[in-house]
Amino acid sequence: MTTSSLAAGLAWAAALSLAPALTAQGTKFAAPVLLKAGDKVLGKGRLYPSPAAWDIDRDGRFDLVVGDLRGHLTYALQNADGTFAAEQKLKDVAGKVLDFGNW
Amino acid sequence: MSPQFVDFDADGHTDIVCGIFDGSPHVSYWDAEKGGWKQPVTILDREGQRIVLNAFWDFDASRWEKTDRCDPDGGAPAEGHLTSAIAFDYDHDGDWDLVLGDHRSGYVYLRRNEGSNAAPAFATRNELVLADGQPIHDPGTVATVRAVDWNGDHRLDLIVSGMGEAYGEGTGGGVVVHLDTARAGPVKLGAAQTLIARSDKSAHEPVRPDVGLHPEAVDVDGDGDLDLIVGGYAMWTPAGRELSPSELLRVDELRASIDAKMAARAALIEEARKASEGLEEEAGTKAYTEAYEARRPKMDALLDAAKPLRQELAELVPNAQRVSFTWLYENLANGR
Repeated sequence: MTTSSLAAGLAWAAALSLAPALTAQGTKFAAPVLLKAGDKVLGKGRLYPSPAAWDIDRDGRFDLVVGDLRGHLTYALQNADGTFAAEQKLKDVAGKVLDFGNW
Repeated sequence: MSPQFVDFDADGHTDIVCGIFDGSPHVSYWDAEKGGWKQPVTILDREGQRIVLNAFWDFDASRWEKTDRCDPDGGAPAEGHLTSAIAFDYDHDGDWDLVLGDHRSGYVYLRRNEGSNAAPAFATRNELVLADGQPIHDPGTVATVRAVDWNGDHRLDLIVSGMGEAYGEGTGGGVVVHLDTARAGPVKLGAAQTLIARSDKSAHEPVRPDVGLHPEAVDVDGDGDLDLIVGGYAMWTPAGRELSPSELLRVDELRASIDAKMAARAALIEEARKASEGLEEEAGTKAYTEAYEARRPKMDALLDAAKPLRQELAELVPNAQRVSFTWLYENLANGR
C-alpha cells in the first residue's frame, strides 16, 4: 500500500468539496484486507469503530482517526512507506483526551 | 459516531463534527490561538435547543427520553435516534447544513442552516432526505452517513452505511452511495448504488465487516480513485470438525442440559417479577429487588453449573464470533 501526497490532497479536497476531477468512481472493490496500525489491527475490539482520514501531523500524508460509540478518538499516523503507526489517543488543546462521549 | 474533519465555523481551521449515541450532533472547534482542538460542544438549533430525532439522552434527568419536537411537518415515518451527523451544504447556499443518520429506524434527515457558518441558525425541525424521489431508508438502519465527491463532478454525494442485524442471524449491513444528480443548486440525490453488498453472515472466518459498517472514502493507493476504509464487526462461526455419532449425541445432551438450566433461571427471574405485580413504582421496585436478591444464589448456581457444559459444547461445536476490525476495500476502477 503506497500513498502519495497528491492522493492525500485529493482526499482532503474531496471532503471539502474542492476536489480536482477524479476519474469516475467504480463500484467494484478488491476483497477487503485488515488494516494494521503498528502491530495491531486498526480499531480492533473498539465499540463500532468509525475511521476518518485526515492529516493530523500535517506531513502531507493522510492519517487515520478512529472514533467509536463511546465517543473516544484515536489516530494512527501514516508512515512514509504507507504503513500506519500504533494508535494514540487524540487529545485536546490542553492535553486532555478529546471526549465526545458525554452521556 | 463518524468524525468529520471540516471547517464548521468558517474561521479557516478544521473542526471535528460528529453525531454520537446521546442523540445529538457535536463539534470540537479548533483553538487557533493555542493550536489544538477544544473539548466538544453540542450543536444547537436557532432557539438554543438540542438537535435530535426522537430518542435522546436527557443529561439533567440522567435517562433516555423521547420527543416529537423536531419531527418533520406531517410527522416522522418512525421513531428515530440520531447517532451520526455530518456537515453538508445540502441547499448549496454556502453554509453547512446537517445530515443526520437514524440508527433506530434507518431514515436520513436534514437540518437546514438558515444562518451562516460564522453565525449558524439551524432550523427547529428535521426534513426527510429523499433519493430518487423517496425517503432514504436503510432496512438495516443507518450506521453512519458520509459526504464525498464520489464521481468527481465537484458536488458532494452521500454515502449511507447500514447497521444490519447487530447480533445473531439475519442480514448484516452494507454501504451505498447516492450521487448528487443536480448540476447546480440544491442537492438532488439519485437512487442507491451499492458499494458493499449487505452481508449474509455466512463466513467461517473474519473476512469482512458484517454489521455496523462505518466507511471512509480516501485514495489510499494513489491511483486516482476512492478506496473505502471500513470499520465494523465481523461475525463468523468457525467451521467445526465432523463429529462421531457419540459426539453428536453428547452435543444434544449438552444443549438440553444447558437449556434446562437457563429455563430454570428464567423461571426464577419471572418469580421475582411477579413479586412486584400490582404494586406502585417504588414499592414494586423494592419488592422486585428483594425477590431477585433472594433468588440470586440459585440463579448464580445455575450459571456456574452451565459454564463447564458450555465449554465442553464449544469444543465440539465452535461458538459464533463477533469482533470489530477496520478493513481496506481497494477500488478497482483504475487499478494500480
